[in-house]
Amino acid sequence: MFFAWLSAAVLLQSSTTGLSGILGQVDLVALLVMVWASLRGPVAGLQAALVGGVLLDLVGTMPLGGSVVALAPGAYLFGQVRQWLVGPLAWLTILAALMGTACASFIVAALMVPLGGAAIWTQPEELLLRAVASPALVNGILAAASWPLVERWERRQPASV
Amino acid sequence: MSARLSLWLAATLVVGLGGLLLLSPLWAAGGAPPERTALDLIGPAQRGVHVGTGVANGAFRWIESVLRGPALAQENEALRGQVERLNTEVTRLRQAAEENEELRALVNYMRSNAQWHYVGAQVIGYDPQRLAQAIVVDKGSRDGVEVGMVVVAEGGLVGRVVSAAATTSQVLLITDPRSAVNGEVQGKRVRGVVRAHGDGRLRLDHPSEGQTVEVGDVVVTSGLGGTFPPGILIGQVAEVKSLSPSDIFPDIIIRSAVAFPRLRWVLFVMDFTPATLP
Repeated sequence: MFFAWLSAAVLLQSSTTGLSGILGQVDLVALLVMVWASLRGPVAGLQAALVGGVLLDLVGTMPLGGSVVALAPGAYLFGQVRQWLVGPLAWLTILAALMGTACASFIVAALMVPLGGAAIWTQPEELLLRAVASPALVNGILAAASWPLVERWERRQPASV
Repeated sequence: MSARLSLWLAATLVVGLGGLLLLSPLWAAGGAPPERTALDLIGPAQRGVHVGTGVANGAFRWIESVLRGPALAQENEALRGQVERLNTEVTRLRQAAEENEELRALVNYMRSNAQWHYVGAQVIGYDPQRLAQAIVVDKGSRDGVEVGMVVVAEGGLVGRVVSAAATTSQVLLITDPRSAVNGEVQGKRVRGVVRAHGDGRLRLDHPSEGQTVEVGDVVVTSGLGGTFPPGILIGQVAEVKSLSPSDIFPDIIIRSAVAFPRLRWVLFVMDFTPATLP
C-alpha cells in the first residue's frame, strides 16, 4: 500500500511543474520516505528510500541510484531514532520531514556538481536557501499539517510491519 | 325605471351632447379640448387601476410560484446545469485560443528559421527531482527523435534531448545546472559558456576578450563544439557585474528568451546532427 503511495507521489511530482513557485518546493517523495521512516524504523525507511529513489531516477534525469543515495541517510537516521521511542510522535515525524528533506536536497545539490562538471553553487547562501532550506521548510509544514491524519491512520495499523 | 325618468335622462344626454358640440369651436380656439378634459378626469382612476393590477399581478405570480414550486426548482436546476456547461465551454474556448496563439508563435518561429526541419511536441511532464530542470514531451523515437537533438521554442533555445523512449522523450533544459551551451554575444565577438548556476539564472562563463558587453545585448549559440547549431537565440544580457580585483572574468547574467515555467510546446530540430566527441 505504502509503495503505491510512493508511486503516486512520483507521478504527481513529475506531472506538476517543478520549475517555479511554491509547488516547485514540495518534495513529496522525500516527505513520504522520511515520515515512513519516522513511523516504522530504519529498515522500512531504507526500503522506502530505495523504492522511492529508484522510481525518481527512472522517471527523471538523475543517474540511477543518485536519489537513493540522497534519501537513504535521512531515512536511516530517523528510523534509528524511532526505534528508541514508543508510539507515533508528532515532533519526530515533523523533524524527520524537515531535516531528512534538507539532508536529501543537500546531497542532490552536491551530486549536481560532478554531474554538471562545474561549481554551480557560486554562493553558499544560494545553496542553503534555494536547494536546502525552502523544500525542508515546506515539507516540515506539510508534515505538521497532515499529522492528525497520519496518526489516525498509523493507530489503525498492526503494531509491527 | 319610470318612463318620466327615462325621458328626463335622454333629454339631459341630448342637451349635454348638443351643448358640447356647440362649444367645441371655442375649445379649438384656445379652450381645453374634450380629450384633455377626459384624460384629466380618467387619469387618477387609471393610476389607481394600474397600481391595483400591479398588486394583483404580484399576488398572482406569488400564487403561481407556490403552485409551480417543484417545476421551478427543476427549471432552476436545468438552468444551473446549462450555466455550468457554458462555463466549461468558455474555459475550453479560452484554452483553445491560448493554444492557438502559442502554436501560431511556433509556426512563426519555424517560418523565420526555415533552414531547419522541425517536429512539434507538447510538454507532458517534468523531472520529479526538484533540482533537476528537465521536461518530458510527447514525441519519441517513433517520431524520429534521437538523443542529442536540439529543442527550441518560440522564444529560442530550450535544451537538448537526453533520453528518447518510443513515444516520449526527456529534454534537459538549458537552465539545468548540468547543461552547458557555447554562446556568443551577437555583434560583439565575445564568446563563452552559458550555464545555469544554483540561483537558477543563466550566466556567460569564461567570456573571451572582445568588446564590452552591455545590458540588453543578445546572446545566441555560437555553434562551437557542434552540440548546438549557431545563431539560436539564448537570451539577453540582464546584468553585467563590474570586476573586482579578485575576479578574472566579468559576471554576465543572461535572461533566457524562453519562459520555462509556462513552456507548453516545443520544436525538435530534426535535421541538425550534433557532433559526437571521439
